[in-house]
Amino acid sequence: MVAGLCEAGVEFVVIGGLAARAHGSVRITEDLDICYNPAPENVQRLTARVRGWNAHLRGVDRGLPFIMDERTFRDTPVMTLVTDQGAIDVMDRVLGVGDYADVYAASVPVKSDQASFRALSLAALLASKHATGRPKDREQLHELEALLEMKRGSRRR
Amino acid sequence: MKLGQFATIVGALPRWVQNAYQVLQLDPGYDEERAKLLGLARQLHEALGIPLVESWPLAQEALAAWPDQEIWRCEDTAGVVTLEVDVRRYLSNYAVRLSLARSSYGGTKRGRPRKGRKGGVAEARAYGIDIGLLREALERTPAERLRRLEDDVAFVQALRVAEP
Repeated sequence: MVAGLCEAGVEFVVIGGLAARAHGSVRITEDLDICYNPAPENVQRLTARVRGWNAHLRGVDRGLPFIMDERTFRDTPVMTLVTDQGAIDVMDRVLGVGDYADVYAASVPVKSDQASFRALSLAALLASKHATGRPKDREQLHELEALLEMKRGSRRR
Repeated sequence: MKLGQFATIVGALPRWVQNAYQVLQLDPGYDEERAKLLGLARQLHEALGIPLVESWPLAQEALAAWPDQEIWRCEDTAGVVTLEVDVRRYLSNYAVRLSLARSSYGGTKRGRPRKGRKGGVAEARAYGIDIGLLREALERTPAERLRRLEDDVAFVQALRVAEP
């Protein structure tokens, strides 16, 4: 999915579990969380991409109408979607970090076999987990804090 | 359903919801149907500048017209002013917020943060996290870590397929 977004020219930063994994987390994550640039031309590219993947809303009765277009992104910029490629959560800001510009500034480049992209830094990931304060994030907080300490320790040596 | 979850579906802050309940004199309790109504009443109230007590019955009528009417129209008695509500668009936005509330809402931690913390690694170890696994992961490059994630996901999916 990350490679598909890159191919479509979508400007985004990977946040959440995949970003944590890139920083050394051992947790398994099956969905992709991204913060996207809300500029109209970028939203257009993102809309076209996820529409092409037959995106629909997660956990909602298919009987409800769902219009996947730029206006929906403008009215409800945070969406939890399921696509042919897998689950994807999209948002235009990250709690504890800020809007896309702040998120981009707090991101680092990551290279995988399929694509080069940007992911939220470990410190910013921690800030977002602290800000959301959800019980389900508590375990990951311990892991991320340990990783940060280990990374800082190895840099000092 | 909790207030925070309900407010997410309405598309408002919890404080706004509590005020709206007082203004509309609604019985206590939060459910998805009421969130759907209140969300539209709120949009009409904000877009038209009419009081919530007037937008509430309009929202009820507009939603009752779905699915027969995708665009609900209401004329004033003189036939001078016509109100149009794109019910399909509204329900689509409602569905997005509903999905968000159902998928992501997990409540927040109560109470103050603990004091006297031991620090990242010590606390993670005390919590039961395998620090050895983290050390191994840190020895890999990000690309190797992501490749391993793909292998892990494939393994878990294969396990699911194998379940009776």
